[in-house]
Amino acid sequence: MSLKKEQLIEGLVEILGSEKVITDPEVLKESSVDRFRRFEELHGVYTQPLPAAVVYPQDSSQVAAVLKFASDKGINIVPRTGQTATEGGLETIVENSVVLDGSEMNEIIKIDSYNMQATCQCGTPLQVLEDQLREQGYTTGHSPQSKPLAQLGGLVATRSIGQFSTLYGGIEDMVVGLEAVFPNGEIARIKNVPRRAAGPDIRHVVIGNEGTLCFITEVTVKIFKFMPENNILLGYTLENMKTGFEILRQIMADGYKPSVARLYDREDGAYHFSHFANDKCVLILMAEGPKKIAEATAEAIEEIVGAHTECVKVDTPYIQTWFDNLNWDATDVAAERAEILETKNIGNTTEISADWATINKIYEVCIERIRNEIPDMTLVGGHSSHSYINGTNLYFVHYYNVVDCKPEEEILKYHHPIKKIIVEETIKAGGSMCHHHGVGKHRTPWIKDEYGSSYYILETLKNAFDPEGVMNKGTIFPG
Amino acid sequence: MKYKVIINACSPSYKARAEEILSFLQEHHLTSGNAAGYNEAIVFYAEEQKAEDIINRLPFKTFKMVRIKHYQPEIILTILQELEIGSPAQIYIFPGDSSGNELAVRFAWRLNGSSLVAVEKITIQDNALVGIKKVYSGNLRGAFIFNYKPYCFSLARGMSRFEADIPVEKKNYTFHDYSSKTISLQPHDYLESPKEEENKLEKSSFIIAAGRGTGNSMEISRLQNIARELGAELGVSRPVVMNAWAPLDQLLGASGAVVSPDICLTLAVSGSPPFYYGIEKSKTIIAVNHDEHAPILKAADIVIIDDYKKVIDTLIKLAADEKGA
Amino acid sequence: MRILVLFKIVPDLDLLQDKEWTIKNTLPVETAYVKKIINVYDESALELTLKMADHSINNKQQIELSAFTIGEPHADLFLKKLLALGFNNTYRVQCSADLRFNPYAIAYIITAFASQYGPYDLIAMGMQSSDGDNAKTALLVAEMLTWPCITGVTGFELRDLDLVAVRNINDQGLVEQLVHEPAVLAVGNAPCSLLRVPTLRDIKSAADQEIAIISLQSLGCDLKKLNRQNDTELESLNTVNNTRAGLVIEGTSAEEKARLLYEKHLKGWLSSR
Ligand SMILES: Cc1cc2nc3c(=O)[nH]c(=O)nc-3n(C[C@H](O)[C@H](O)[C@H](O)COP(=O)(O)OP(=O)(O)OC[C@H]3O[C@@H](n4cnc5c(N)ncnc54)[C@H](O)[C@@H]3O)c2cc1C
Ligand SMILES: Cc1cc2nc3c(=O)[nH]c(=O)nc-3n(C[C@H](O)[C@H](O)[C@H](O)COP(=O)(O)OP(=O)(O)OC[C@H]3O[C@@H](n4cnc5c(N)ncnc54)[C@H](O)[C@@H]3O)c2cc1C
Repeated sequence: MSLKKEQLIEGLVEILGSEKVITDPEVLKESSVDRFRRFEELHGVYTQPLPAAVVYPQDSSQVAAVLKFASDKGINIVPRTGQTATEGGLETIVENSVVLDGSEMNEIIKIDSYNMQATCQCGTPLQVLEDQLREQGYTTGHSPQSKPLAQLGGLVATRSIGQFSTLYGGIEDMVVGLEAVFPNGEIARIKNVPRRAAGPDIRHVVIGNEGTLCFITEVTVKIFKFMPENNILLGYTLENMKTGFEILRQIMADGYKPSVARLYDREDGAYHFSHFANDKCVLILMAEGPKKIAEATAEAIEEIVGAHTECVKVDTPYIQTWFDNLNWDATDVAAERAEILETKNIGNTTEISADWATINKIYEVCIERIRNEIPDMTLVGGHSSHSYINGTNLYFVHYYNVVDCKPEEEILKYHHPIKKIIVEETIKAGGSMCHHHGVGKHRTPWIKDEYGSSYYILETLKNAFDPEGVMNKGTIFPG
Repeated sequence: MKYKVIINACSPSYKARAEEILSFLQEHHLTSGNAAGYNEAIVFYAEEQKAEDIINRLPFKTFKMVRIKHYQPEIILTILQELEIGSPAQIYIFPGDSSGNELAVRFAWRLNGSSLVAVEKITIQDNALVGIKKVYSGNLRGAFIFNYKPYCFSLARGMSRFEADIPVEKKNYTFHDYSSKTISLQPHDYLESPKEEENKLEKSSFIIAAGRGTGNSMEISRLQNIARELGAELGVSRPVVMNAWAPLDQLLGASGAVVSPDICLTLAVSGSPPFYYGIEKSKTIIAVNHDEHAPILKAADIVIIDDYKKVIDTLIKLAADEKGA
Repeated sequence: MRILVLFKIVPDLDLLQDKEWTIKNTLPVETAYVKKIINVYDESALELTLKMADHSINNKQQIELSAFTIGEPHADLFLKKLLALGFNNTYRVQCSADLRFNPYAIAYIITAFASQYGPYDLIAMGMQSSDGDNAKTALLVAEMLTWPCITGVTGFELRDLDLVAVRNINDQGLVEQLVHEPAVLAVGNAPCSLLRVPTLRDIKSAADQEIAIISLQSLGCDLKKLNRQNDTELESLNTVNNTRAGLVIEGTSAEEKARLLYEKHLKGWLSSR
C-alpha cells in the first residue's frame, strides 16, 4: 500500500463528497464481516482488519471513479448491497480496504410490462421491486429467503436462487441485461434482448462474480404474471430421503415444473414442522402459473407421489402458515442474534449440488461424518430445495453449542471443519461445493478442485478484468 | 345480586385499581347497592400504612378496613375465608392486577365457587353470570358462564377509571385488625422489600414504545435518552425485556403495563394482540414500521411506513431545534 | 429435592396473521395446523429450573428433575429434548380432549399425578398459556395441594435443603423472598430464559430413557366428570377489532415523513404541554 489512510480518504471524499464517505469506527467494525463471523461480532470481537471507509456512490460514474482510483492506488474494494452474504464475501481481509456500498442506488428505473421486463439499480431491495410488481399483477419469480433484505446487485453477484426456482430458474435465468463497472473505470452495458448467438454469453462473466471482477450497477430481469390464486400447495411425510429424491427425480424427468420442490430430512423437518412431521421426512411441492397448467401439474405430482406408499399426504393448512412465514427480515435477524447470545447455540448452512445418482450418497456420508467428528452438534440435517432435470441441491443445516472456546475460535473449532467435510465429500463425489451462496472467502481453498482443468478459464477472467487484484481480495480466488 | 369488592391497598396503585372497579360497577349499573350500604368493599392494608389516607383516597362508601402485617396472599385468603364463609355474597370483584387475579381464583376455590381472570364485561341474566374476556393471546374474546356461586372475577388490566371524591363523613367503615394473624402455612420471608412505586408508564401522557425491531440493548438505551429528551416515557414489547435490553417494569401489554397516554408512538413493534392490549387505550397511536403488512399499521391512527431510526432521529432534531429557537 | 416442572405444547400464535382470526368465531378454534412450541412461560419455567440445578450441582445438592405434560404424542418430541437436557423423568398423560378452557381439569389431573408420583418439593410452571389465557392453573394446583403459590416468578435458586430464594414481580414491584417447600412457582416474564439446546450426544445418551405415558384412568380422572365440574364454561367466541384510521403519512424520504408528522401532529401538542 503506497497510499496513507488519510490520503486514501481524501481521494474518496474528492470523488463522492464527505457525506458519502463514512469512517465511524462502529460502522467500520460492522463492515469488516458478514454473517459468517456473526458469533465473533455478537461478542464484540473483530478479527479482520477494519476497512478505511464505507462509501456510498450515487451513480455509475461515481462507481467508475472510485474503482479507477482504487486500481491506480492498489486499494482493495469490497462491493456490497444488502449485506446478507453468508460466506465471508464481505470480509475485509486487506488492511485499509474500501467498502463500496451500492444500496443508495436504489431506483426502479422501468417496469416494462409489455416486454415483460423490469430494470432497476443495484441497491433496490428485491422486496421493494416485488411489491411494486405485484401491485400491477406481476412478479420477478425470484424469492430467496432473504428477499426482504437482499438487493439486486448482491443477488446477481452471488448467483442467488429463490424458493420458486424449479419453475422460474435461478437469477441467471432471469437476468436479461445489466450494467457493470470494471476496475479500470470502464462502464459496460449489456443490452436487453430475448436471446442472441453473437459469441459467448458475457452476462455470465458478471453474474456470480461476487465483486471480484466488476461492480454491478443496474440489472434488468424478466417478469411474469402473478397468479397466486392458482397456487396448489401439496405436502407429504415420508420415511426416507432416498424415496424423496427419487420422487423429485421422477417429477423433473417426466417434465413437470412445480415452483416449490422441497424435501426435508427428519432433523430439519422436525425443526420446521413440529406440528406434523412426527419424526418423518417432509416433501413440499407447489404447482403455480396459469390455472390449467397448475392443475395439471398438481394432478401429475399427486399421481407420482401416490405410487410411493410410504408417502402420507398432509392437509394444506399445515404447510400454509409455514409458507407465509418463510422469509427473513431485519427483525428475524435481530431475534436470531439475541438467541445466539443467550443460548450460545448457532446455526449455519452449506449448500451443494449433485446429480441424481450421487446426491443421496453425499447426503448420507456428510451427515454421518459431521455427527461423528464434530463436537457439540445440536442439529445436523438438511433439505433439497431446488431441482433440475439432471440433479438437485442439498442445503445442509448445522447447529452447535459453542462450548469452551473464545468467540474468535468458534469458526476454527466448528464451522470450518464442518464446511470441510461437506465440501470435500461433495467434490469427491463429483458434485458442486456451492449451490447458491457463492464461494465467499471460506470455500476458496477448494476452488481449484471444484473447477479442475476448467479453472484456467476462471483464472483468466480474473487476470483480464482485475489485473491489479483490487476487487474483493480472497473471494472466489484464494487470497 | 349481592356483590363485594376486594381491594389490596398494600399495592401502590390501589387507588387506580379501585377507580377502575368503580367505573366497572357504574357501567354495569351496580353502584346503587354500595350507596345504600348493602354492598361493600373489603380493603386490606399493611400495618405500616396510614389507614386515614386510604380511607380518604378510596372512592367507596361502605367498606371494611382490614389491617394485616404485609401483603401475603395466603394470609389474605385465610382472613377473607373467615370473614365471608358465613354468608357469602353472590359476586366478588377483584382488581385488575396480579394480586387480584390470584385472590379471585384461590378464593373461589375455597368457597366452592367459580372464577374468571381479566374480565372486561359481565352480563347478568336470571341469576346467572356471564363474563367476557380476551382469549388466544388477545386474538379473540370469549364469553364464559359461571357455574357455581360465589362468582369471583378480577377485572382486565387497565380498564377505564372513574374518579369519585366522596367526603369522609359520607363514608361508612369498620376496622378489623389481623396484623398479628399467623397461619400454619407461613411460606415467605422477604429478602428484599419491594419498592413502593407506582408504574411511571401508567401516568405518562406521552409514551414511546420500542419493539424487537430496535435490535439491541445499546439502541434501547439510546431510545431511553431520546424519550427523556422528548418528555416521554419509554415502554417496550416482550422480546425487549426477555432479551434483557430493558427492565421488566417497562413492559407494555397483557402481561405488563396497560397505559392510556394522549400519544403513544410505537417504533419497530409489529402490534401483536398481547402487546396492543397494553396501548389500546391511548388517545392517539402513531406507528412507525418499515413493513407495510405489520398489523400495527391498521391498529394505529397515524402511520409512517419507513425505517424508525431515520424517523426518530429527525423528530429529535426538530424538537431540539424548536427548543433552541 | 424433587422438582416437577409442568408444561404445555401450544400453537405459535405469533405465526398467524390477523386475517386468520376473522373467520374463526366458531368453537373450538382450529390451530392444529400451526407450528407447535412450548408455551412461552412454561419454557421459562423449564430453563429457570435447569439454571437452578446448574448452580446446585456446585453445592452438591441432590436434585431430581421431572417434566410433565398433558396431551397427545406430538409432545413426546419435546419430552425427549428435556430428557437430553438432564431431566431425570418425563411424563405425559395421554389425553386428546380439548381442555383449553378447563384449567380446573388440568389442575385436577396434575394434582392427582403429584399425589401418586410425589411427593414433590417444588412445582414450577408458567403462569398462563397462550391459547386459553386462563391464568388459573398454577393457582388451582396450589389450592388443591394446599401449597403456597408465588406468581410472576422471574428466577429462583436453592438456598438450603428446604429453602428456595425466589425472585418475582408483583403489584409492588420486583421482590426477592425465601420460600419454604413445598410451593408452586408460577413463572412470568423471566428475562433470559430461552430453553437451552441439547447436543446430539446428549440426545443419544438419553435415547434409552423412556417417556412414561400415563392414562387418565390410572390417575383416577374421569374426563366427563371433569368437564361437568368445570367452574366456568366457554359459551361463545368473538373477534376483536382493533382497527383505527391508519392514516399513512406519505413522503419521498423518512426524513420528510418525520417532518410532516412533527409539524402536523406533534409540534403543537408537545409545546402545549
Ligand atoms: C436469512 C438468509 C436467507 C438467505 N436465503 C437465500 C436464498 O434463499 N437464496 C439465495 O440464493 N441466497 C440466500 N441467502 C444469501 C444472500 O441473501 C444472497 O447471497 C444475496 O444474493 C446477497 O445479496 P445482498 O444484496 O445482501 O448482497 P451482499 O451481502 O451485500 O453481497 C454479497 C456478495 O456479492 C457482492 N456484491 C454485492 N453487491 C455487489 C455489486 N453491486 N456488484 C458486485 N458485487 C456485489 C459482495 O461483495 C459479496 O461478495 C440468504 C441469506 C440470509 C441471511
Ligand atoms: C401468553 C403471552 C403473553 C404475552 N404478553 C405480552 C405482553 O404483555 N407484551 C408484549 O409486548 N408481548 C407479549 N407477548 C408476546 C407477543 O405475542 C409478541 O411476540 C410480541 O409482542 C412481539 O414484539 P415486537 O412487536 O416487539 O416484535 P416483532 O413481532 O418481532 O416485531 C418487530 C417489528 O419491527 C419492525 N421493524 C424491524 N426493524 C425496523 C426498522 N428499522 N424500522 C421500522 N420497523 C422495523 C418489523 O417490521 C416488525 O413488524 C405475549 C405472548 C404470549 C404467548
